[in-house]
Amino acid sequence: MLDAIKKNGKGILLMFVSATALCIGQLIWKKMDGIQILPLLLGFVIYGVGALVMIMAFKYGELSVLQPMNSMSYVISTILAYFVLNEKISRMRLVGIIIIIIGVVVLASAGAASSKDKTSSDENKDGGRAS
Amino acid sequence: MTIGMILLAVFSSLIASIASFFLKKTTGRASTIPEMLKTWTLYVGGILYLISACIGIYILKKIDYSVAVPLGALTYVWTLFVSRVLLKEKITFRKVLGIGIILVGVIIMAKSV
Repeated sequence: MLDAIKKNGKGILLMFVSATALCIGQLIWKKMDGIQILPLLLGFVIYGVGALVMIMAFKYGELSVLQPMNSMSYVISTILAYFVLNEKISRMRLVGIIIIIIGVVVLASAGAASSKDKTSSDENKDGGRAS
Repeated sequence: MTIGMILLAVFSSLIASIASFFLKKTTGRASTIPEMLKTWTLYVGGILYLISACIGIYILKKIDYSVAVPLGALTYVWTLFVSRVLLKEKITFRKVLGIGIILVGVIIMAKSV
């Protein structure tokens, strides 16, 4: 049972890592003055890592739980914009990202709960026939 | 901002959802990156994501950001149904609640920009 909870947990954690990498990649591009080779490549690589980690994350949990974790990128990019770009965060935006975080927490707990109840495995070892 | 553009945005979010399904399928068949690169579902998922992103970029020129972003977040709703039908993942109250709250947060956040 603990394994089941841990399974979604690993996927969720990887999704957070992915979202962070995606945001950092975009941030590097945003901070670029015009088009510079090194930041362009670095941002591309980090963004690519983020995409790959996201795909790997899908292995470790339910798609309906993990995919919405992408919404954390709104939160992370807001935080990055505040601390790195010194952008002002409006109160409404702050409320918005707090609510997103609440939704993410609720969804993450749903993942743990439903994987506890599942009798069939999350892992599609056979590569999956749709039925 | 026309109905057609809004429907297009909704369609784009559906494509992104189907793309993520194919990416999930990829991890079922491959555990390492080299293996993934040999799996066709990776490319279907990737191309669908690109299509969705391109439509999204086009949409942003036609409708407000404060409308486009929440419509993009509809992909989480689509995924709930896609994964129910194709992956047999249960639709639970907590999942619906969580996604609903996320959508509210996205709408509020998008309106603030």
